[in-house]
Amino acid sequence: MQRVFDNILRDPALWYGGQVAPAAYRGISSGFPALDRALPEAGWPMGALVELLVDRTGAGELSLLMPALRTVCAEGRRVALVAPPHLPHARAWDAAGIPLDRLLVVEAEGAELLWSAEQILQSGECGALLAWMPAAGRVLDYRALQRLHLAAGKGDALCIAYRGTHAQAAPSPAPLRLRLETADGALRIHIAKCRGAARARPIPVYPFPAHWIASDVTTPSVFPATASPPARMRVSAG
Amino acid sequence: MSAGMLWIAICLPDLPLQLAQRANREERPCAVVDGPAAQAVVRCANPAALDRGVEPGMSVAAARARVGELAVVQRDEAAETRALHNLACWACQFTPGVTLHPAGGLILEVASTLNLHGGLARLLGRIRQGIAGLGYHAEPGIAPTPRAAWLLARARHAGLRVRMCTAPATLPERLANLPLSLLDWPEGTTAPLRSLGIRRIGACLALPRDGFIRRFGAAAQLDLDKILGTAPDPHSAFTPPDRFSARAEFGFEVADALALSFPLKRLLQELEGFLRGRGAGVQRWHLLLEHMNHGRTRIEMGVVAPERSAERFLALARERLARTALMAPVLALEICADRLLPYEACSRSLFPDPRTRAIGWGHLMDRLAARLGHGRIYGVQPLDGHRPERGWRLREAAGPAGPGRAVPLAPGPRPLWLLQPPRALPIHAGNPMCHGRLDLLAGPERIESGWWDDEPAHRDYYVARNPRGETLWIYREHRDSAWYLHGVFG
Repeated sequence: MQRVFDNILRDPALWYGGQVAPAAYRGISSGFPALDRALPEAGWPMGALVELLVDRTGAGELSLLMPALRTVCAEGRRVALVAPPHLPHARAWDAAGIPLDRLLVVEAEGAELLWSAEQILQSGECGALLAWMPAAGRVLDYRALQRLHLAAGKGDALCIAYRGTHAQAAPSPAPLRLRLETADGALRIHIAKCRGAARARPIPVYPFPAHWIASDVTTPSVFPATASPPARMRVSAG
Repeated sequence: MSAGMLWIAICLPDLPLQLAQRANREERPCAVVDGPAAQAVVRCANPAALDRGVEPGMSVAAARARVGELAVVQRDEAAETRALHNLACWACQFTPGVTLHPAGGLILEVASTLNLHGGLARLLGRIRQGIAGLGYHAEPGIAPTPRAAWLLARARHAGLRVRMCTAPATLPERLANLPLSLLDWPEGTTAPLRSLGIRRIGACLALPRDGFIRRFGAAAQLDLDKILGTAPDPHSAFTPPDRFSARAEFGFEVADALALSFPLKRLLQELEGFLRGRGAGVQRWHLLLEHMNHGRTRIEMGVVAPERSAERFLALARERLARTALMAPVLALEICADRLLPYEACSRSLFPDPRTRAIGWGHLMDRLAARLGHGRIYGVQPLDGHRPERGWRLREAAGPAGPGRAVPLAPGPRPLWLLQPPRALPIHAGNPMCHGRLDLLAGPERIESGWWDDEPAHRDYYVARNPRGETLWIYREHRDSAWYLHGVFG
């Protein structure tokens, strides 16, 4: 009897509730060990849609991906930014180790956003695509996301869709959905959806330099004297 | 005339009618008329009109009386010459030996290129398919001499059952049953032959040579010799031009831009044939739409690498047309390609190498640019310059990376997102605000530059965080003591 149970328990189709699921996609390391440990692919899954649910720009949501983007560029593939919120700062991307000749920016909105993202993914030319989805709207239904997911699989690319946290309640075909929250200069990553067992506790990640964490900061929060412009300026203003 | 030659004749005697109908999808009664406006007569008409009693030679009024909705098109000989010329350009892809026939057609010498195209049957198949794709219909005639090939093509066009002939020995037998009228000899020659009861070419060939020359003239005998290949029949080969333009006129107004893609496809196939013949590709070409109100719309098209596939050109043009609002209905369409570039054929290999990769990238850029416009696809490139707003420039996404200049690393932190232009921050109780009070995390980093131009900068940069947890790059401009948001650490 015991042997029968052992055989059943050794079946690869069976996994324990507390275990992280076996990898279904090729993973590339996120560069953050704590995050890698929590994800089934030990990193970002390639060829699948990944949703990052975040309400802020400037929370470190982009720095979080930089190590993975460096890996993609090192593989000789390109990075596409579709509908980014601001202009990419050339020097910063260069300093972050992304060769700028491998960076493509596409301005598009609505149906054209999804169309361009799908075209770029299907071509297989880009190893990573980051798309900033509209805050709300009809275009971003389940089927549109499903198409992106399939295109990512076809192009074997890392496909990141940035969406607001309000989208967490909506169904999504993405096998991995992470909700990002800011806390004292760190990024708290909640696994909203993931294959296998998801960690209930958020994963703290520090995408910014350590001395920027507010709790450690020794910079006085008093601003340098703003009320001392050159005298002549005041005169001319008066 | 060497025994190894083989000619294919493409005969288009009803070219005026074919041109009038080429841009149309469905067949409606149509006639091409010729002559001065007052006494114009029908020159040719399509089956839809012929079935209802319209006949060549009839006056326009009489034809209109029989078919009320008859579309009447004035014959345009210049357009016919152009069309034949373009057809010759297209045919250059099959052989360098293309000759224009004055009666409206082409003659191709194909013996030298048969092996290249995989045999006569395949070559014929490609020519037939190509002609149909261009919107023409013609039955090719095949014979070892150009004159005989032309006769066979005309016979096929007239509806006679003739077989092709590839060996000179069988030529007299294949031609024997053709009527003398196909030869286009002057009436003074054919009338006495008819009176002798000679109505077919075979009977003509059977007559004794000396007597034939005496009674019917040396010119007729020379023509017979050319048909059989015993007299030389030199043809000067057509030289394709250095630029391409093709035009399609519609007999009606087209109001929907996407409806243009049907005639456009035919013009682009002509372009492809021309480019294949020249071993070339093009990077830039343009579309010219002629409107009802005599206005014109010019649409520039470009691809990243020299290209010649009509299918790809059409796919890009459709994307462009889909986002083009027509200012007025279109009456005619023209395409032009000026600069021919060497074309490197590339086959899809199992293992992608860098070159096929580059082509794939180019195709992707073309597709995106056709739908979104060139200005919305770009890359960024660092420039020398301490002021962040001057430390970069846009570059074409598809173009090569700019000069590989080593950019000195900035001494301080730089945000991944740059606000262009910087946004002024409100001041509250002496402190700048951005969705709440800002905590300074790093700084100041002083940037002083541009004293030599009209945008001097004298700034202290800080990394700051607001209560929402956003990490920002802000600066204080010393000239006016104002605070600005210049970037976001994403």
